Amino acid sequence: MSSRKKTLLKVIVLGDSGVGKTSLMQQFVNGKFSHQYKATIGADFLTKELNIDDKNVTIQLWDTAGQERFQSLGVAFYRGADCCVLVYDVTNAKSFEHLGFWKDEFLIQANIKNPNSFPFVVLGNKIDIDESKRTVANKKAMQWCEEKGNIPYFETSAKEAVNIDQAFDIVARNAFQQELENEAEFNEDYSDAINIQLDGDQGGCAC
Amino acid sequence: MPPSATNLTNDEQMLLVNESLNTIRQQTIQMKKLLDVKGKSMESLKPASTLLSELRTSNLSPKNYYELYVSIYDSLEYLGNYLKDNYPSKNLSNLYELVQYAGNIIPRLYLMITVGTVFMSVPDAPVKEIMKDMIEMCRGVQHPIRGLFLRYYLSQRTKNLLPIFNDPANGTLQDSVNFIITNFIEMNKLWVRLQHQGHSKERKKRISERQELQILVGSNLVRLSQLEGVDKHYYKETILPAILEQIIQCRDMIAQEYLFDVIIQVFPDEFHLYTLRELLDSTISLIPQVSLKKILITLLERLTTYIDRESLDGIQALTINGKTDDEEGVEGDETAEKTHNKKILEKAEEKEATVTEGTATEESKTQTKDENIDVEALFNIFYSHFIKLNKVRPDLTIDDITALYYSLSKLSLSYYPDNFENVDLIYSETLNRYNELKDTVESSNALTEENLKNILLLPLNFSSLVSNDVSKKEKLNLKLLLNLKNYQSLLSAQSSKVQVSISNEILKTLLSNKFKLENEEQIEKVFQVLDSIISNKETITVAQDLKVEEINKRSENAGGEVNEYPYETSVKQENLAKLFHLIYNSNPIAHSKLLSTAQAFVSQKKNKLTKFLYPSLIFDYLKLIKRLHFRIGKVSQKSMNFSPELKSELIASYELELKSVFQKVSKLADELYNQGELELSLKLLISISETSNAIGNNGFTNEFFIKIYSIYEEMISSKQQYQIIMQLISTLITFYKSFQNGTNSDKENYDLLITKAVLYSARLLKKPDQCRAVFSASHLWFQSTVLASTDPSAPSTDASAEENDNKRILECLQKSLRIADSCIESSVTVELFVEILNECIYYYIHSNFIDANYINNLIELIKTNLSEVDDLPIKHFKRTCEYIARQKEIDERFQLVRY
Repeated sequence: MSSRKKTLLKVIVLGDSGVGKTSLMQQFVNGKFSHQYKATIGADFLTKELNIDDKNVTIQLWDTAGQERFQSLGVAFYRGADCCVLVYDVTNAKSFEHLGFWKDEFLIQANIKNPNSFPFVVLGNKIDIDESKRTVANKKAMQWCEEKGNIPYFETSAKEAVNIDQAFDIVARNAFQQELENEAEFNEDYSDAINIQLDGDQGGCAC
Repeated sequence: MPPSATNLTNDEQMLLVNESLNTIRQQTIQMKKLLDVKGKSMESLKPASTLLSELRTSNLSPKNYYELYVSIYDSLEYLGNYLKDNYPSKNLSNLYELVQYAGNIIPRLYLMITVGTVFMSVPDAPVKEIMKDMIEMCRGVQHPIRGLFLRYYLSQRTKNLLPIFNDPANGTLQDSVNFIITNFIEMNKLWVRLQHQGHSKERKKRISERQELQILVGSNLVRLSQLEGVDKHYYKETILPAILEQIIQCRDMIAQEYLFDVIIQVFPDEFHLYTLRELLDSTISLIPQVSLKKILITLLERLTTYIDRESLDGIQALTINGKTDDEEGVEGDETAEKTHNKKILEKAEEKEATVTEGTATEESKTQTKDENIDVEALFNIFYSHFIKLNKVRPDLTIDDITALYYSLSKLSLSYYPDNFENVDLIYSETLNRYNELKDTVESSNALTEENLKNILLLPLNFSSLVSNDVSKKEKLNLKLLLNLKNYQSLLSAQSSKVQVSISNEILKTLLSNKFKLENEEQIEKVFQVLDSIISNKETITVAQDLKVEEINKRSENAGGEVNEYPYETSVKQENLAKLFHLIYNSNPIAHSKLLSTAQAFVSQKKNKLTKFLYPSLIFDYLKLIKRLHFRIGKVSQKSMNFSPELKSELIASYELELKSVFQKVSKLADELYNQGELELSLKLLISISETSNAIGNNGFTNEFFIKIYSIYEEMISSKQQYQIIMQLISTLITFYKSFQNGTNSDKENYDLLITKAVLYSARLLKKPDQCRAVFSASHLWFQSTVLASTDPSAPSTDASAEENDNKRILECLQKSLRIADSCIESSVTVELFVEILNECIYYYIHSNFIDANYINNLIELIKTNLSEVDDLPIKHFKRTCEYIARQKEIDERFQLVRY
């Protein structure tokens, strides 16, 4: 495969309004955190170039509106996702309870073929906030993730950049794995339309 | 082509979507394939153009069109990335021209934007010109849906490429802002125009289509909010006026409501605080169909949650400091102060920074608490705006107004938890407006009622509002309640139903929190607030609702007695009764005054509900009497360091109070008596007499008992009388000691009281009752014997007196035997005999005046009658015999008893 053909990984970030989806992405992509709260409306993405096991990939992170009224056009952009990140706020028990809703919603809307093997990652955000304000115990979240098929779980702080890179590294790796599988399937479907030989000729001429 | 979207059903559209998606997929593969062949990349533009043609359709609803758009976006993203990585940048200018030869405008402009944005991303590109060219070219599409998506594509592709530094050659921040605002204005126009196209019968459908499309228009405002280098000054001077102008000019309800919502949500709170006046003023220019309530509440709620987020951050700042520097952590206040000072310093710095220098990278540093006056004046700005609305928007309904005031009071309490004047002002203004508008249709609707309830429950929900802490929920903030001068007037203006529900909520909370009511002011306020329950407005409402027959039916169900109040009432009144227990003051005289104040609130109502309330009030008074008595004892003690004058003065005042409290309770019992509550009043008097006996006031005790007897004589029902006479006997037994210790006249009085009790016993209507009462009364003379043997301090009675007493006991027993014998049913007679036998055994154990013969005779008597009776007395007799058998084992004297 040509090395100049960068793999594009599409990742959807979901969760209740105000759990810090935008902040997590901003911290991961730009290394910044803003105190200012701006609601996200509609869907928007950020991209970041990554290197996974010596392969260059572009990760396309889709930020979504937690509030339904800001998602008026529907969620067609879920299609073709390689990984889904579910975010909740450790100081907000409701946001944790809703994780199941977001997961199911994603599986239905994104029209995932093998829901059981599709990669999810759960992030419990805002661990920088005082322990006394925390309402969702680590154990409880771990248990939920285990029950839902061993979903990787990270506790993060977008504000203090805790566990962000570790979490998104797993996101990227799992997405990459999924993308390879998707591609294999895609190539199967359209095998006669693709001449793999041609790719080889171009090898190595990328700068 | 019809301008509005299709008339196809969704299923039909889905077929089209799937067809198009297939085409797009195939063409994408084709495109990718060609891109990979060296020298053929130009040919890849052909399939790209073909797949883009799918977006030329007019047959899809916005949602379905979006499906195609998303798929095509991915393909074009691939194309763009390819060009960026592989296409010689010096040739991009040519390519930008070249793609514009595409035959159809939709593919042409999408390709133009794809190449144009790649071009923008290379160094030294004429960014400003490309931006200008693209935005101009987009005017070519005037079909609303297609135009909106095209411009959305433009907005998405240019996202990270817009200049934010002031480089006049390559474009400035101002150019970027202009670019986005132009796109916004054009998109809004397309969006609004959709409303006015097509047939009027499709209006509903158009509205729903427009709502689907709204996100595309709003995304421009998101872009503006994401631009780095925009600070609140720049926002105020440049951005906000431009977008407000467009929003106001478009005179479209959907657009105005939605875009205001978006402004409030996507820009930071600091910006809103800084531009609050402008933002509020502009709402006045919106068309009347727009719901100001929605917009203003969104804004109020956003700013209310802002202070919550801030306080959370504040706590964190403090704990972080505490962790790094323990010494500082000890003095929390100082730390906070330092943090605060630091913030002020940073703010000053920030102020100096200008737009042109770009505070972009410093975004996280932007401090939260603003230095400008707006935080201080926040409430006033909103409040005066609401007052202004009264004049300029007289069409606002009471529902709107009350909802707005509720939100404003939440904001006020969040920002200024100690400022009660603000809330009081809201109460007063709400009342004014309510009075003006109470005859309108909306005044009685559920929403208005809910809003008013919420406003009135503020003192209850205050803590949870201010701290956001669920555990603090439902605690009454009495301070707030006391400071709201207009609370009562607003409450009284409500319907009985609302009043009662508010009162109940407050009462419930008071009780569950065991709130102490410690002064007159608190009691007055609380009892005023609870007036609707005290006046029993609910029952009145219920009575109005129910038909008379139903009420009668209820009373029949209540066992023949006339029961005016449903069960629920008594439960609620029971809660109210508990309220008296919350009254407390460490000074017993002050406590007494507080109880009287509370009593006045209840008594002046003159309704019959007092029967639910007086008992608990009386018991609180009785408790107080014991406290007063205890105080007198304590003050009299030598160990107390009082001067003799003060001592006697204190004792005198306590005794005076004690006496007056006795008078009060006696009066309360009288009142109940006058209301016809004979039994209740009598039972309460028994308790009162017990208290006066406990503190050794025989005079009072005697008086109360005389009162008791006079009520007793009026009572008709025999069943009640029997129970009461038994209660009287047992009470009198406990009085024995204090009366015998008293004066001679006390002794005489006691004698009169107990003689009377036996007399009443013998006069009971039913024979078994008579019999039992009389043998129970025999114990009234037995106290001396018992006390002498158990208590050495008991009054020593001379032998003649004791003999006299024993004689009376035997008389009572004889009389009860006679009564038992005269019963017609032999089962009843035998049962009574067995009971008397038990009494005799008791006396036999504890004294000597009954001999074994007496008992043996009685046993014989029972035995002879045993054949004709049923099970119950036989069993009782057997148990008694077993008891005698056991006594034989431990008491020799019982050997003489035969059975």
